Amino acid sequence: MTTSDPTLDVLLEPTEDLRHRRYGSRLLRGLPKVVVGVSIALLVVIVAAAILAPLLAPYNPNTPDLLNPYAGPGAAHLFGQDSAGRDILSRILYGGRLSLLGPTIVILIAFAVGVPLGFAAAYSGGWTDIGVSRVFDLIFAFPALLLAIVIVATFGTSFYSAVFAVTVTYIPLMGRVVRSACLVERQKPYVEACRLQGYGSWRILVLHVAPNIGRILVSQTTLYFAYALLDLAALSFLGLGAQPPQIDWGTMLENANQGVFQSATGVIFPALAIVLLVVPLNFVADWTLEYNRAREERR
Amino acid sequence: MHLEVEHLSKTFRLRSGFLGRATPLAAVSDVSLEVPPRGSVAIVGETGSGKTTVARMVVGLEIPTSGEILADGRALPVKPNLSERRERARLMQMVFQNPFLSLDARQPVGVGIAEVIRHHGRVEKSKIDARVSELLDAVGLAERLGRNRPRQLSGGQCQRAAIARALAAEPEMLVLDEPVSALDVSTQAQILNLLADLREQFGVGVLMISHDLAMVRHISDDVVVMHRGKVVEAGTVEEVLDAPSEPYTQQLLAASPERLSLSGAGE
Amino acid sequence: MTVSEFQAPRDVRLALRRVSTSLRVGSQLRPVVIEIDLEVGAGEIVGLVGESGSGKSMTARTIADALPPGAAVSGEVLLGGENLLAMSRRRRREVQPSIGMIFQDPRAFIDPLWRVEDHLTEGLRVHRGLSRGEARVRAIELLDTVGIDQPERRIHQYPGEMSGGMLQRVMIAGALSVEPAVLLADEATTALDVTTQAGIVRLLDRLRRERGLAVLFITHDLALANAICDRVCVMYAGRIVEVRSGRRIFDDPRHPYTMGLLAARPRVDSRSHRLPVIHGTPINAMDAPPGCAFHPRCPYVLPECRSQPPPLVTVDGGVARCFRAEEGAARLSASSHVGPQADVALAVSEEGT
Repeated sequence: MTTSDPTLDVLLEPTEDLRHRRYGSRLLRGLPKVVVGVSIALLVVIVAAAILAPLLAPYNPNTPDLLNPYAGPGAAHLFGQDSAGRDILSRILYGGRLSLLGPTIVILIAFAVGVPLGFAAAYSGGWTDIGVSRVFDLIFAFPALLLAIVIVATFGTSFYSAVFAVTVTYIPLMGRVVRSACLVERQKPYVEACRLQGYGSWRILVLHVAPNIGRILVSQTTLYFAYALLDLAALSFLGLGAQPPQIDWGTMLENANQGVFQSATGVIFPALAIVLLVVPLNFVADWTLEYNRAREERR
Repeated sequence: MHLEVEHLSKTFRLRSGFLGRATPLAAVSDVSLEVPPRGSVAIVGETGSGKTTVARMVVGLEIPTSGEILADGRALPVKPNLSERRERARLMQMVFQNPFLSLDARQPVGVGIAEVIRHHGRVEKSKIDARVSELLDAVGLAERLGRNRPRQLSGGQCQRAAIARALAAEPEMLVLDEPVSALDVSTQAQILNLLADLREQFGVGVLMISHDLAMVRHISDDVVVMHRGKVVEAGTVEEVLDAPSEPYTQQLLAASPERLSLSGAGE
Repeated sequence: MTVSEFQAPRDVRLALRRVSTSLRVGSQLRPVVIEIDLEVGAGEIVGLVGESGSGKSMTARTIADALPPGAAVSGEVLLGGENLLAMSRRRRREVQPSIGMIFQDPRAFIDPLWRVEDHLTEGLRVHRGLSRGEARVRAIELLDTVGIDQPERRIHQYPGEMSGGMLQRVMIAGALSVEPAVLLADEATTALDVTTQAGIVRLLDRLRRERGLAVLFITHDLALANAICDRVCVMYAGRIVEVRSGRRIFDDPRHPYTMGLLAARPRVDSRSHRLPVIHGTPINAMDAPPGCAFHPRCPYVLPECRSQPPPLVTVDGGVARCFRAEEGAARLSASSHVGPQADVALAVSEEGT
């Protein structure tokens, strides 16, 4: 339902089922700004910490101290020591670099390849759409992890082959989001008005449709970054990603797994690092979608 | 421009299921009508009458299954390519029902109008901004509103912007698909007056699609009544609305709120 | 006199007394409905007419208890004497079946995966404790009542197999299934073709005559309300500005806004040279200026209109909230100012009555 007053429109959306009173709390209606603010702050802090690792890390992350394996947190080692006595704090900081680099590469490539493919599928329609969609479907048909294992088995275990494996599974995800969003826009009269004028398909796509799906794209990309991070950590945990002396949070978890009953810190801190990245990313993705939509419509 | 529609038909093939048989749906059957230069013709009908499909075929958004559309005696291409579309756009423009959705939500309306002007290349680059202002003025929008995006305008203002965009191509005919049904009564009246003014000012012909007989009475000279894809009755507005010969037309008239009478209703 | 003092029908099923609703905008509460009084008696159809921002939909939502979180309501909404606003949630659920509701888009309220039978029998089984078989028989009766042919066949169909008009009848049948005292129709025919609309409206008329149903018919179409309602209430900027019974609102409007609405609408019967417009756009209650909310757009404005809220004046067959309510269209047009508002004045005198 729309009224002539945009302010009232915002209040009336989403359409409510008039037979059931909404019992939910206010919190569920939209993210309080505090949550979003904290999320963004956390993300900035973690990314900065990873980048500044050489300056912040108290020890060399690979220096072993075999006299003190699985030591708990203490004055000298704030987060404790791992199975080889290495300082966990330093490993978290340096590990962050690969843990963040991986998803960044995945998203960049998935975006660069997936978005044009999605556009092509949505706009050219016909055989292009069928072709692209079926290739996507083929990739979707494989469980992502299985596909990743196959790729890594073929190219050997390394950080880059893990990244490659995950990228392959994310390209169709990105492409599908773009394709769906474009198809929705294509139904709308403003696109028909453009076609009527004689604007070319690519022009309509780039100048008109793309800006309108921008918000969805940003939100999805943020979300996929988080998922890619999780997927890469999973691969590392299985020993299929970064290999020593490379460090990332997944390998730290694998390493700490064996000694978890002697020292939980080896597991807690990498896990916490991952959680503190993924959860805020989810909030930010949500916020991008909801808040900006309301703002666009109300302004 | 003299528009002639000859024996236009459109059959949609609806597929049910992946391997299901395609059921044909005859949305439009053998429709012929004509809009004289600077004339005003309305196509009236209810849901499923095919009136919108006829309009879309006329502007080139749907491909007719059979039949011809002639502009000044020349048949328009059935599957236009880009330059043919552009040519057709210079002859006729469409104004859609939902003002908010028919404009690019992310584009300030003035920019959208300028884009159309530039596309048709009839105005010098340096004079485009002035032309945009002229058009905004002609539709009764303050110039500063040209900087706004659709959501920052009211429904009536958006529809005015959409009309300005249509006029930017300097068409000889406007095709309007239920242009005011999404607007408030008081806004409807303003837009209808505007359309009447523009018709005089720019000399454009009007093909109006509507379900509202009262509006048709007000704005059109001739009317074509459609029902289930076929033309049921056609003639001048006076002929059809004052003395309808077809039962369907009579039914439509009897159902309009002003004529509606419930047995024993009232005090 | 208040609006409710004037209305006083015999068996009042639904009454709104000084109901005001405010919505939360940002951190503030802004009004959307201001002190409305409304009564619907058994067997009556009362129309509530307004454009966007008038508050008519918010009134419907207030009655239906479907306001957005953070909204505030004051006043009383009396259903058969009990105040809905003061009830416990449990009691509210108990009385909910007494208010039937039908809305603009039936497809949004009928589960497409449920057959018609499931939809109709749900209420009967939950609220009236009928068995499946009993409920089905009743459902077929209901479909027949609302004028659907071959009800035994239709009962097995899915919503997707039915047209909008038919689905709206199903929705009415659903609302009737639990024998409500009141029916709230919120733009129920707006999305329908005019012939389908006529059918639904005749159905509502029959239902109120045969069953004594009290109907509150909310619409933006003044002509439609005039055709079917016993009494029409016009809303503007959150307030009721005119209430008239019979056909008077069409023949003898007393509030300048009503006059403007009538004049702005083209007629099927005759072509007017130029439609007189009410300049500007309708406003919400929250944007209303001091004094009369309509005064910036009113061609008959007096100095007091700008500063004092206009009184509710008794007129023939109703009330109108205007300082000049007693003057009537003909006298007003004769005395109006010349100038850009002359359009309205001219048309009003052309219309004559």
